[in-house]
Amino acid sequence: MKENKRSFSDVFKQSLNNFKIYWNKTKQTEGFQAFMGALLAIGIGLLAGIILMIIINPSQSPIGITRLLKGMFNHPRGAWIGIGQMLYRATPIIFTGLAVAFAFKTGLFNIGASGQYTVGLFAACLIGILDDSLGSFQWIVAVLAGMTAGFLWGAIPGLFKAKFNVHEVITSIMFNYIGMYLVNGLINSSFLKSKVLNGNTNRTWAVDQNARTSYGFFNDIFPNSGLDISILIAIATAIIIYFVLNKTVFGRELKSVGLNRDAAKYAGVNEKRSIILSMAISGMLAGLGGALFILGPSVYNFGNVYAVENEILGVGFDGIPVALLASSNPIGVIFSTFFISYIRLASGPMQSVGFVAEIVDIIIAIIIYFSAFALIITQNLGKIRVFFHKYKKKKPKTKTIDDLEIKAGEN
Amino acid sequence: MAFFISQALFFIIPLLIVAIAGMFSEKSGTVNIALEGLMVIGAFCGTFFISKMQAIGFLADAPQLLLIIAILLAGIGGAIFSSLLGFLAINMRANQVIGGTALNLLAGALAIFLARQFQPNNTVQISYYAEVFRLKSDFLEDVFPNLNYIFFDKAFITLYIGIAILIISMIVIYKTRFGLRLSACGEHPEAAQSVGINVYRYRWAGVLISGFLGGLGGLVYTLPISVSFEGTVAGYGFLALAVLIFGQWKPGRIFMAAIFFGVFKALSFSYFTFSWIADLLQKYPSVPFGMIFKILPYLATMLVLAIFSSKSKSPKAAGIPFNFKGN
Repeated sequence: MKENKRSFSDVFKQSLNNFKIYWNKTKQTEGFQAFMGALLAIGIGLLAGIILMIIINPSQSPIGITRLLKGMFNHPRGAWIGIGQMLYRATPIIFTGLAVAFAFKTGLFNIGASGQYTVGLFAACLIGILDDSLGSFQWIVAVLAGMTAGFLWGAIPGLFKAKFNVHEVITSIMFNYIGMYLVNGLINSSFLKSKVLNGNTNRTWAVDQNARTSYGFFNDIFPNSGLDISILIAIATAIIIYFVLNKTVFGRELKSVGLNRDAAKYAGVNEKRSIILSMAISGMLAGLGGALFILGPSVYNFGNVYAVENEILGVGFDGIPVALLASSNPIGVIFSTFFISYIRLASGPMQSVGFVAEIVDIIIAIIIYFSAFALIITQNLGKIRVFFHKYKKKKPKTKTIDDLEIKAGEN
Repeated sequence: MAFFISQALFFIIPLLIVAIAGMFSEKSGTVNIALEGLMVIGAFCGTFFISKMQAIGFLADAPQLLLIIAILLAGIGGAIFSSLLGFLAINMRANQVIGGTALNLLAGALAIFLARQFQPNNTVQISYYAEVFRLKSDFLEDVFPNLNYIFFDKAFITLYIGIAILIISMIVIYKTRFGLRLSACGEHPEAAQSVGINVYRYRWAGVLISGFLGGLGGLVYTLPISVSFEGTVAGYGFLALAVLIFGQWKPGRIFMAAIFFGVFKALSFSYFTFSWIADLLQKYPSVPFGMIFKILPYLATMLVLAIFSSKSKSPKAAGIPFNFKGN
């Protein structure tokens, strides 16, 4: 009996110790620190927003703050619709966020996700409206067309960087505009206008029924929230990108070029090809996002449309903050996008109680601003602990796990 | 032609000022992709001031003085806003791209938020009356009517401020101790530190000058081309960033790059004023000339960059936080 009891407590202690060691290891990983950093930034951002709301309108602030924190759960048709709406709005941003994150991981700043998204959208839209002969293949062909268009549009900045030494930021900014004007011009051109453009609204027509993305089972769970299976494709894409970047030779090569172009070159990586491919894959992700948006059935199966305006689509720029908040981790992008979509759904309900909707945007901006610090703060937590440790009166004689952890934190 | 040049100047001058703003920051070693945000904040401060003052009739008989005060306010607003970037990039040694992106987001949101908060009926648009600020002088009317039209009749005082900024920044960067030290901090901060230059202080100076000029450029951009400000400068900050790289971080070349881009941009708005293009439009109605001229400024810039960019050199330490490990 005694032995049994002792062994039980031993097992318990040992598993506790194992857990502690595991936990301390996890605490040191980059991913965990980035996660804590993001949480810290979100906390500071929300706090700043709440203080701002109390200052500008103290009497309404309790209800306003409640609505801010409730985010998607404010939806008048119920929480489920709110969740569906959140996922629906998040889907395109996950793709552009993945595009930006993928480029960041390979040492490139793709500020051109917007242009790549637009050309992907346009290619899919053309196939979706014009190619009726494809039948049930119309959807998949449209998706592939969107990916190809995004791939090519993304490859251009890569090509300019690899061949002509032009910084990818300038090229991708320029090709945002070129893409947008090209698409708008083609839609308005004499051979497409009559088929593609709805002259009354200055928007494209919705794509054919055959070409629309299936609602899947989402229409039962989140009825009429517009959510379709693209969210599943988005999540699957994020997992694939994570796998490619971290578990394949190809992904490692692309990352190595980002870390040190010359070193990668001497290690036998074709660095020019890698740069072009990195940007092209990044563009492909944005293009896929555009394609899946325009093919989306939207609420009540109305179908999504593209408004022909001389303005760059904001969804491409939305990809930057979500990628930054996630520290460019593809899996993290999913959650950072969910968070931003969640909080954005609060802006309408907040406005109806007298708060300017842009408070939500200010909060998001503050979160991104502090996410730049937060990583530094969490990485230096060990140092802060050491600082306090010196002032402890009793120092433990034997080395405990805590000590080891502090040493690890010192590096 | 006079109309065309006059239009082109409205694009060239703000691009020039904002690209020079970016130059001061990047020469000192801080990458500034927040130029767009600085422009928005500057344009907001300037137009909001002008709008309020015109409403109460303040300085109604001296519009140029009002404009100069507004320009200074725009610059100060930009400088204050840029201190957020300076703190993050220089003191906290955080990622400058993240900081810049955050400031771009913040500027857009803040401008609309403040406009709605402090204007009746939650209006976003800040309306102002810009015609009064035109110089409307007939200085050269009798001799060169076209030149008079471009430089004295339709022009704003901002044209001369822009040119003054170009000349002053050329002198400052190349001929003064401050400018040379500033460049040293962006090229090799450790070396600068070793000869006793306070890198932090110079980087702060670079960022604040950048903020001042960026904010000023925002107002210069907004004022002539519109009758109201709606919380956006339509990507001009990013274009200025492109002009900065196109201009190889050198004031003279930035001016050339701004002219190059600005001329094509003006062409996309007023191509039909040229008779030979109008003839082409008549002859080939199915060719989408509108689209071609809209794309042209961006495409032409890319082509020129592809040809001349092979030995492009940015400031070596731009984007790398400086860590002082002395004593």
